[in-house]
Amino acid sequence: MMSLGKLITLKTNDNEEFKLDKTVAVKLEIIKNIVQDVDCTSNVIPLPNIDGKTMTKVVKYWKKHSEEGVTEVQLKNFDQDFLKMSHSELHDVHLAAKYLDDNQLKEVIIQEFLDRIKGKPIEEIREVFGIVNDYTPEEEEEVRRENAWAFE
Amino acid sequence: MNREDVGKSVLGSSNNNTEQMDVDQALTVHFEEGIIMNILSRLSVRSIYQYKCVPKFWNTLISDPYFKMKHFNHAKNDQTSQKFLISHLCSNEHRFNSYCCPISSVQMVEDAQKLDRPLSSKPFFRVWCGCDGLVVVLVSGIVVDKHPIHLLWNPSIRESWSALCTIQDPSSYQNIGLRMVNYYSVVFMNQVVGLYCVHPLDHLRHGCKPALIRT
Repeated sequence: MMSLGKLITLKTNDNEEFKLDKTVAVKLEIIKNIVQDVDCTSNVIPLPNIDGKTMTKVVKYWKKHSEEGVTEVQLKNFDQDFLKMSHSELHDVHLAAKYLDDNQLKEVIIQEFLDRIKGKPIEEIREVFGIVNDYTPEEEEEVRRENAWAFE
Repeated sequence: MNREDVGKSVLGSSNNNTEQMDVDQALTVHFEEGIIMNILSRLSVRSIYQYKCVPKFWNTLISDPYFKMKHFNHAKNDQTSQKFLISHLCSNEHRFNSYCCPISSVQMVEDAQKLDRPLSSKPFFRVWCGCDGLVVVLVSGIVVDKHPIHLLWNPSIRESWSALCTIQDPSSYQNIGLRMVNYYSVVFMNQVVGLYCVHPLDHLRHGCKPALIRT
């Protein structure tokens, strides 16, 4: 029966449509709520905050993680591969996961960011988050001096 | 809705660096405050204090009471954040030193990390009691001192406050030396004042206004 489940269509803000098995889609809180409110299997659920490029990634993740008989090892390998994207793409997927209330995906991404910044010097942290240093050298020195113990 | 969604925005005014951002495409990513807070709240206190100088608004964010609570709550539930605090008489130096080490690890001794303790000029140092990562310590220049200096110490951020009030419970002086505390969990106790008002410190709540001492 699973494979014959009804399809739900999700439509991104750039009009890309994703047809998903209902059993996959209702795992998401936000979709579940919409589906419960109206019987919208024939309708399209708009996702005004997500673009097609990002949604492609999210759907890829969902599909793999709801595959029948998929092993832990396979999922681990998949995740490793899935997370090979730029910092900004990763950020976009996090935003989408947040909007879709997908805590598992959110958590995976936060962990990936933690891995990316772990033990890195300040300059590389700025790079990951796309941050322009707005301290003057004197100001930065001051903050470093105040918290000198943390830099030992 | 998650906690991070309802957090108040402290970044609003700091994101108007548009001129600089246009210069370099790679820097146009605008990280949402929620995700930054989420990531930072899982880091060690040491890392967070380093990251104060990433940009200015991280410093603002890290100093924000809401972030401190978030970090505190996370650390409280995270076993790896919890440490032993050990006060140890070093016979070579004739003085007490303080160390912290993880609870979970089997290599506890190897992982012990020496801490800069407050008022290190005074050799005698006792941990009296601790709660939520904040400890009361007794510091003294002589072995038998009826009136040692009482300090409220937050080892995570190397800060202490003078606790000049009337902590009088001589029996407690004897039995402390090694105590488990949620060492890292009171990261920011200097701000979250309410949290250190635990039972043994009730005097503090009424008695005094602690003065900050930097170690």
